[in-house]
Amino acid sequence: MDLLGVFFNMKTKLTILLFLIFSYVFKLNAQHYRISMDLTIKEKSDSINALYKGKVFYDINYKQLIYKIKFPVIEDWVFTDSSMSIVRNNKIVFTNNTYKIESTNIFKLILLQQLNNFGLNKSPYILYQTKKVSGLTIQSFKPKTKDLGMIDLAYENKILSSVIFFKPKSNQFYMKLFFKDYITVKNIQVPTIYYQFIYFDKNEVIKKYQFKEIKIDDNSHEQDYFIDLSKLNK
Amino acid sequence: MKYLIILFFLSKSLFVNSQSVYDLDINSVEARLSNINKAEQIIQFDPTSIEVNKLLKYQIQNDSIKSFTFDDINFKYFVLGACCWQYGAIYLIAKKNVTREDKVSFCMGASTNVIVFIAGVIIDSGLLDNLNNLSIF
Repeated sequence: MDLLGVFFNMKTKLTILLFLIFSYVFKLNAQHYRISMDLTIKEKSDSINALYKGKVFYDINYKQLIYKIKFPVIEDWVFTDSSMSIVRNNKIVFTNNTYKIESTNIFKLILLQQLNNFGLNKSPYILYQTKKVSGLTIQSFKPKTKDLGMIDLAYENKILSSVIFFKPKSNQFYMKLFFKDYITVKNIQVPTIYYQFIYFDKNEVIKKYQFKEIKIDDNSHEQDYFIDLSKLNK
Repeated sequence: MKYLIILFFLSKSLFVNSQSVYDLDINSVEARLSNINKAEQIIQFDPTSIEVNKLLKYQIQNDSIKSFTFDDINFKYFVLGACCWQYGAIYLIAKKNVTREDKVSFCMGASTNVIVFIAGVIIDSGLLDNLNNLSIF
């Protein structure tokens, strides 16, 4: 009887172990890895009224954020972790090696389902204060290092509505993001409108991003998710 | 009581300021983006429309986006054109016997001036640079 009990115990343990392994494998498979969408960018500052239309492609494995612009000119903007390049007719016409996109890549955050905390749970920031301001829940994050500024996340009905970036050791903000009109695609909450306000030298730049035809894990445009910059002419 | 009222208004203004940081006034933002929204509507039917260049203050030149004011260019060529026309008119008035040939040459000069004016505006607006790259939706 005891042996039978041990056998059943082992069987139960094995079943639980197998269940855990399968659920882990299933979870890995369920990890979303690519996103694409139609994109409109409207940019307004004192000197510029700009309009861009095209598509955006991002694949977590390739780590390239690609904007395929159709208006005003046909060109590709390729963002990697260390550079930003503009490609026209298979030729690199502009490169900036100081641009860093990965830390604020909202498409990556959407895929990893970390947009709601803006990826701050795995960052050099710690939550230090939560408060309520006119129906919004505000979470203030303090940086662990002195060279970074504070970040406030504002939630409306537990959904991220805005992100405020403050200057280091200051209460002055230099960038504000607002996320609007969320829709659900493959069980992921995706904002369809996203406003960005950038402040520098008493100037304000407004950028409005509008997303349509959002596709997650779509395999129909494989060639659009990666551009081999090393093979292009400069 | 006086200090209480001052304190009330101070706290209220502080409250309003802290609130505005997290709130977005969509109407005011969209009002500021109105020209770009108009341009977006126009390019659905005619992406090469000159009206779009008026609404969108950008120009692709030397691989960088530069802002320009369409009205400045118009004004420059307008002044240049007006000077030529005036010169032609003064010449005709000063001449005692205006022949048919004089009238023809004046008209030809004037029409050439108009062509140069239009060509100058097109070249300066960068439309020719972008013509090859512009796509039709």
